Amino acid sequence: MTMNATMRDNPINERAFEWLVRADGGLSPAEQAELGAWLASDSRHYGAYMRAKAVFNHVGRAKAFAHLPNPDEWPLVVQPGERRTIQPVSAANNDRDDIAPMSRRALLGLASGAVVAGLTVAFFATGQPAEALTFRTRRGEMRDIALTDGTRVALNTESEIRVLFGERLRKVELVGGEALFDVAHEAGRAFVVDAIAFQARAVAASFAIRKIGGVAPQLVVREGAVDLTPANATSLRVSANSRVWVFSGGKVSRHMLTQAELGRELMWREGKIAFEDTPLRYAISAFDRYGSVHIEVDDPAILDHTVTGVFSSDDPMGFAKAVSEVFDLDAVPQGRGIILRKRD
Amino acid sequence: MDGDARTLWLSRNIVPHEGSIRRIVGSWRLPEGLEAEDIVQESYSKIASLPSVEQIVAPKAYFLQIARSILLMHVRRAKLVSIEVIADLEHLHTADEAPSPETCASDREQLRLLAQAVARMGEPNRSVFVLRMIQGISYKDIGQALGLSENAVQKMLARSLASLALEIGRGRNGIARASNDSGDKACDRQQ
Repeated sequence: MTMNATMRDNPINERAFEWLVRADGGLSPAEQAELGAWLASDSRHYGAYMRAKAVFNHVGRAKAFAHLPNPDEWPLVVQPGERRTIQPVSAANNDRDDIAPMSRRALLGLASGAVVAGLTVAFFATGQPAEALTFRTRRGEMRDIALTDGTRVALNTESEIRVLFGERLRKVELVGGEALFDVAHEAGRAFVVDAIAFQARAVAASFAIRKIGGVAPQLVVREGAVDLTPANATSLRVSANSRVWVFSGGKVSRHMLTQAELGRELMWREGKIAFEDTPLRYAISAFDRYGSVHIEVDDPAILDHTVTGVFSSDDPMGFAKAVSEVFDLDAVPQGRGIILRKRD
Repeated sequence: MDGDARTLWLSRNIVPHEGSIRRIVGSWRLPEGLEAEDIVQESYSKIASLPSVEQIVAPKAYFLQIARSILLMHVRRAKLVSIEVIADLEHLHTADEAPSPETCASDREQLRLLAQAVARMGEPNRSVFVLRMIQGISYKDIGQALGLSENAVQKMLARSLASLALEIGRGRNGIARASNDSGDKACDRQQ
């Protein structure tokens, strides 16, 4: 866990920040009363809370960087010894084309390196009345599909697409799950993926869309540019090496990804799951997507521990053993699942 | 002055000086059972409860005066105080005798410190920070995007803020030159 040791040693400051963030999210009347009692019980509590508020306010100045989705770039715009103010966010500055896209060579390297198993070629005539062609994967299954226009689609576990190519539009519906699209260029016939919460349109690009229950759908662009249109909202252009989450109400959040992060996002292509400082509760639910062996814990506190590493998505026991080594637990098979228990 | 205005005042005038404030308070000899952090917290409490702060021209020096008066109050109340503590009280220094570079960081330098601190944060803490503090996405939605409970997201942000607080108050090397900048709003005027 990346945690600053110095902040751990003052429990009042720690509590103050926890209360502040909870208050930022909205408190119920009962919680409000609890906070009031905590503040009144000790002047240090009140002082620490006021300090936390002041800090919250102070770091809120980082909103000046709202136009730079990647915080790695932030220090670069405030150079020392130069009296330059941060450029205000302009509505027109939606494009992030100034970020160097991943080279085509790198992309080809990736594509040819991946093992393409069970390649399916979908034949159907263009110009005919469009007829939907459905491709589906079971839990734990992965599938590569070649479409007639030369586009390659990789379907992750438990995913489904419907291909509806017409004369003027190459349309694919992502019914659910996760898919990577390496879109072949075709003049005058755009490629559109409809994910319900948003549409992604590209002429030639490589991008992945994930749409699974309980999680905000996301778009990751690894090459080219994709025009993303959230339902009932205006579209924005998403350039290579970025990830966009689409929230309810058409709100979007865009981040630039490093090559390493991009690699992790697409590691499922190789049957791997990558975690970096990921809370165990999330890591376990990631494994649940791929198989029916569920990992349980005897102490819910363990779920907040974070894990880092690359694991085979079809080997939850391997993952459970690795976790148990790190946190001094025992990984024991139980029924059809695995339980992580405190070591006696 | 309402609570929000006071918060703003503290964030501009005290938070950036926390590093040197802590160093000075940390150099004081304290009665047993009292820690520097207790004094810092009580000083915040005191300054936040003042009817007005508009007349304060040197916020850091004022904060240290308050801190000193809080120490004296604790010494008076304490049943047993060592002779060293009493001796030290005579010449308790409340001014930064060897001004450290960060005492006078300009607004721009403060922003740079903040930018660097955020750039150094690990994931998923940094995403949580950006989603909430910059994009204003709700905790529930952030939890959904990252596959975390709302509670876990809040705890994560609370921890990030706590460590950011220490980093932005601490200052870094290379800030020294900034103290020559004129028109430093965040600087104590007497310095």
